[in-house]
Amino acid sequence: MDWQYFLGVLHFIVQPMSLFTMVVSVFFGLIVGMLPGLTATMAVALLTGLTYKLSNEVAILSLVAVYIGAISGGCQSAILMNIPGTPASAATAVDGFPIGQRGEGGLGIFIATMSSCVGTLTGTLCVLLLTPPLAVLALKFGSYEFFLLALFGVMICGQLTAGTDPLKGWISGILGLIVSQIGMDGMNAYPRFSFGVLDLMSGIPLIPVMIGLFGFPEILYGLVSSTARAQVKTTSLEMKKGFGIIIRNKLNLIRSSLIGVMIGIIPGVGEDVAGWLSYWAEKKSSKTPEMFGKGAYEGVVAAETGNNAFAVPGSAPAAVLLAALWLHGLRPGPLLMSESPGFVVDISVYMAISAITMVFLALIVSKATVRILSVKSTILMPIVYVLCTVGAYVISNSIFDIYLVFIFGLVGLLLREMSYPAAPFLLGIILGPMADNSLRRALILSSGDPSPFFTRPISLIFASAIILMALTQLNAFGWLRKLLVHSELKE
Amino acid sequence: MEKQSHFDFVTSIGLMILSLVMIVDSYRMAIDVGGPLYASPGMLPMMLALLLLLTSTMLLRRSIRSGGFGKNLAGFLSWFKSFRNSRKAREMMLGGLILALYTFIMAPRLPFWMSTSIFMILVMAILKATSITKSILITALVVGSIYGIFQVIFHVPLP
Repeated sequence: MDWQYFLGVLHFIVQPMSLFTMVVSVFFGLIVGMLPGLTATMAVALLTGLTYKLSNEVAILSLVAVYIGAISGGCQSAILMNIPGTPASAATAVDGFPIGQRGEGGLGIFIATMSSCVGTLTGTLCVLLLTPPLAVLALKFGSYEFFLLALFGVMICGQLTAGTDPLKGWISGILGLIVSQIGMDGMNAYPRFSFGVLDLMSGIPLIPVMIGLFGFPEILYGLVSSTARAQVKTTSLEMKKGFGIIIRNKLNLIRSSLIGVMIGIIPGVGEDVAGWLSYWAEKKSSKTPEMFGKGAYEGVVAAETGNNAFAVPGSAPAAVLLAALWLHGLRPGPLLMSESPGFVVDISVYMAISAITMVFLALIVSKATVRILSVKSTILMPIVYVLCTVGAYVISNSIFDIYLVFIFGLVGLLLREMSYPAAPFLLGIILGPMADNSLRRALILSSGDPSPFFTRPISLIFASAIILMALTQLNAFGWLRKLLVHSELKE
Repeated sequence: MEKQSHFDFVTSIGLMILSLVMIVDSYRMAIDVGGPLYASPGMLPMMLALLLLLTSTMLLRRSIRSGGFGKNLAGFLSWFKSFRNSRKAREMMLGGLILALYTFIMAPRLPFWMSTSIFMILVMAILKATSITKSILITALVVGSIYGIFQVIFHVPLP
């Protein structure tokens, strides 16, 4: 790390204008992120237009700060209303929403905020210290590994969210992957499953699907008197208890941070995969795995730490952030280090200080936001639906995206009524394009020979894990045990 | 579990039909584009369709094991009849209809402030959420805030 750059950026950030911009941006990001239906992607996209008048340094600080604020705000709507503000917050909602429903919304937000701050700080520290060795590891990921990682991510998510019935989780994930295949494919520009509809040819956008899948069922249940949830009496932030939980979860924090960093160095893989893998690792090592999905604090800590400890974010909001940086004269890519040598240090410091600012602001703001659960759902839900439609529309100014909110809302409702989890469906849509391009590129490279999927070291690890998971579900080991016992009895 | 078995039975059949249609369509894609199947745009859809066929077959097998073919079918039909007459179903239909009305009819045709005001006041009135004066005040506050932030500050067009 070059100390000259480090001191330079610290000097810049303590200027009153920089501090003011950062605090306002984090606050704006928090507010947008926590409003159900409005997403982190939208927060960054909205602010980009306003940053033209600012100097490049202030503009970049502002964009990074709004990104950090919005990602954190997204976990609040997941905990309070089961509507994730970012796709990565879907893992947080699994345990965060039950925590909110039992009247501990404030505590849930405190834990999530602290965990995301720890995750961000770890991620930035790793970027500063470990970029060269991590980049070497990242280069070992080829098309074979990307395809298997996508498949592994969907299977893990399906297994984790479906309770005692992983088969339904996997079906949901496969359906998500299928939906992601709609539209022109990335290699031949062939319109798949578009039926001549122009809007479908550009594919199914992620944000309206996410809003529909998670938001629509909550809204409809809230509107209907027989299914409307009771007004919840919320508690305060319970910071003392929250600190206790965070300290008890130090191993969880370290493990989830490392998973986030490791997944984060793989280009193109989103924070959502890191969140789910951290959640899975924590559940596997927990003494009470049966509590996961029912409001386990450990689940929130793992998901939030994992999805924030990201060296190279690969999600939709991060893509908008990179585009905004490009508009401000930076060229994210291999030449970045030679063109702007202080860039990595600048961004890391901006992220770290924004994360710390975010904790204070989030805790102040959440004293008011937890009261949202005590508002009558018949008043709240029409407002939420309007925000959902606006959130879906403003990303690409398309009425078709509003239709998609409704259509995928019905899909979400059906999935819930039939006891299929929605999270694997969403992850399938996120990872589908990567899986498609990687699979075909891999097979073209090997002239149709699938053996590299099982012979390359990293591929072999993923392939073994996938096969093991599938065999466990098919009860193959139970059959094997029976067969062995039977043959021993015969002997 | 009994109810889930009926659902699983019906959904597994639906999913199997979907997977078969997808297999045919994926094969057609491979023929349309030409070249080897592994490089065609139908490669992953075909793999996914086969996986869906496999998993839905497992689901069907499980539901038939737990309830039998005839019992599952009869159970689903009787659930459907009771659902059609239930209060929850009627309320859900009404809620869905109002949301559909806003999504497909009002939002694309009317200015944002008008469609949203009608929608919010209508929903709160139907659900007897609060007094009409409060409904109008809440609506004005929400519509005004959204309009002010998006249209005035950020110059983002609203539907």
